[in-house]
Amino acid sequence: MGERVNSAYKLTADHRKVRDSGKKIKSGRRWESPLAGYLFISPWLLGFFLFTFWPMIQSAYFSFTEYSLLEAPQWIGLDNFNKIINEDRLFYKSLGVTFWFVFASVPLKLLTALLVAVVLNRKLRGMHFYRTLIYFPSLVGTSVAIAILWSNMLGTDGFVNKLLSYVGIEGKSWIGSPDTALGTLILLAMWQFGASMVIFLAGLKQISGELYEAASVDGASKARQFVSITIPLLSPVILFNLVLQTISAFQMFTQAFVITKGGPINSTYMYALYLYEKAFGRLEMGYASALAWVLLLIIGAVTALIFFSSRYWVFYATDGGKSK
Amino acid sequence: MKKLSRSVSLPIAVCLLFGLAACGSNKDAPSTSQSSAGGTKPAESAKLRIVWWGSQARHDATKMVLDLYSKNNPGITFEPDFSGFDSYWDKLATQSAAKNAPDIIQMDAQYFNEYAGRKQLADLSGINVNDLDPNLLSAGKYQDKLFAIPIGSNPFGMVYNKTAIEKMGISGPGDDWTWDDLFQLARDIQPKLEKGKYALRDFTIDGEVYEMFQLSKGKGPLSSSEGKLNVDEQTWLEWCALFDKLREEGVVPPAEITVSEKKYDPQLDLLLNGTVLIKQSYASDYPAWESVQPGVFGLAKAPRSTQAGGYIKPAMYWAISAESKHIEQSKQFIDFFINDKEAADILGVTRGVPVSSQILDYLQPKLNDAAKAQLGLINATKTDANPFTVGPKGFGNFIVDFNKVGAEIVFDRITPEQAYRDIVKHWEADIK
Repeated sequence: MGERVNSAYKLTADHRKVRDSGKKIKSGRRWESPLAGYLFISPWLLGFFLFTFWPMIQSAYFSFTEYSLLEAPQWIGLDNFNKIINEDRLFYKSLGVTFWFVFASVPLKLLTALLVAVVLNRKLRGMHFYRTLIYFPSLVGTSVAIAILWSNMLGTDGFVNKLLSYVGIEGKSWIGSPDTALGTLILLAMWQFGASMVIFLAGLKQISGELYEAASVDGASKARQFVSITIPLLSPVILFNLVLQTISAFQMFTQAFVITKGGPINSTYMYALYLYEKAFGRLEMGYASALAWVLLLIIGAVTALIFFSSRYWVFYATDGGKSK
Repeated sequence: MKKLSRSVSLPIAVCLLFGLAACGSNKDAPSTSQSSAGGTKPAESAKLRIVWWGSQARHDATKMVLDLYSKNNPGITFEPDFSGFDSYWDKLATQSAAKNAPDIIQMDAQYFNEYAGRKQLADLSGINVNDLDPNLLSAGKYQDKLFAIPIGSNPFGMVYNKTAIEKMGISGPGDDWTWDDLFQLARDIQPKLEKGKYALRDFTIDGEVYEMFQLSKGKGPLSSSEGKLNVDEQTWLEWCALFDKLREEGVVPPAEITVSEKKYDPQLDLLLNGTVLIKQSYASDYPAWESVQPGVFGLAKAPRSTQAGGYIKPAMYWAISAESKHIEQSKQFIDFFINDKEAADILGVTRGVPVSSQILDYLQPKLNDAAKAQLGLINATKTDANPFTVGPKGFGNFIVDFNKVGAEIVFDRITPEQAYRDIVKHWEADIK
């Protein structure tokens, strides 16, 4: 999103530069009025206001009410938030589970994505084919069907244990034990590295080959090149992926809902799942709305933290080599 | 603001959740348009929206009955919508919130008080219920008014793998068996099983089975008729100790197997995949077992102790939305559904054993083996059944939490004493 805005901004800036440079561009006038632009994006705007912005306002209102879905909402002020912070054990439990999930799955996923992207960044015959092949799981990764497939494979008599039994390991029910269930979901999340991988790949292609050549001439090893050239030049892309993946990991739902139902004994009870059950299982839409806003604040805070930290580790080549 | 928010935004939020397709569907509903249809009373023509959950067999039979009714009553058409159990309630809640609930709704005991108590259901007096068991009918009443008609009677008991147990030369349960008999039977079976197979399911995580145990001890159901918590601490501790021992002996599966069961799933249901030989079952569950492995399973009455432990609850109900514009027409259809012989021929036992005694007498000679097994459980249970109590508002959620507490015991995270205290806490939070 941020990138898109940036590039759009750059486009208009370029455009202005061309115009201001004195050359007359006939078609320029047609786009003078901003109205035309808004008209062009009106389908998106309509969708945004109707289906994102307005429901958000609504949920903000509901979060201050007791609302069973079946009866009209009753204004109760800050009671919901009060209860969440002071009384709700499940809130803290699910928040803890979610934080574990985010902190473990996001770095793992990004690392996998980066390594795969580096491997796929070579010039090899048929590379397009490999790229498609490796991206493929990400297309189907979050679907319910795949989640059901996993839950069958990871059960006591599942495929994973059959494989393990060939090498003499006696398996267990990976998703049935509270000690391993969350770990299993974290590993499953790693499998959907495709989207980040594609972005990393694009980032890698931006890095000029001359830098590597120069480094080789100076005798830097491949590992050294990776640490001193690839990582710094890729750091804006890493930041971008980190933010996106963190936000989506906080909202993790499908696997927890389909594979484990939050169990065993709440060991995989993700925040989004708790929110969903409050809203539709227990018909506490007001409380669930409050939970949603609390999650928004938490995600906002974590994202802000990441952006704040970025000034210490993200490197923008365009700033003349200085870290921002 | 308030008016706007109720009428405009919620449907939008709902659309957002369930996809746009779900919306536009009811636009053509508004009543009484066509008065043509061969001079029949125009007031009677309507398009009724009807929803239910269930299996394919139930979907097919119900659609045939709808067609039959439309044929007999020109002017009445249906817009059916059916699904599995889980998503059904999410959707119904959202539709009700948007004041867009279907006319005729299949209802469950767990949710009945929730909907009746929130004035979502229409009064159903006037439907012919003369042939219904009054005990069963009372489960469709809220504050003495009839809001839902039971459409199948559903006793709770046990299901066991008859073939496997008989092959061991052990005789299965009789109708007068006790809990001790059940545990003895399980202990007799266990030595003859291969590794990874168990005689009995671990009922520590099944509040409904514990309720049968408590009933059989004469301590009543989990919620009293006044809607108060009625889990007897001593009986609960005794129950936990019994299963603790069984777990130690390896007669019930270890925790991680017990909790990863998925009911009805041919691979993940512990009974269907052969991991356990005995577990609990409603009569209406029986077709689900039978359809996967025909002729293998038997139903047994709930074990007794000082008294019987079983009860009969309505398998499900028909109810009518209070918002419906066609309440009269919907009532006529429900009347037809429970009392008509032609409809009964089509429906069979797809919604449990029919509630009308007349219809049951009519159908009895025609029933197949699966239906007879269900009927057998009803007849065995009927003689000394405990009255069925619909729990107070929020009771369904309480049972979910109760079972989660049970899982913590099974995983040895808390003591049964601590569990009891947690159960009390959950009751206070869940029951409103």
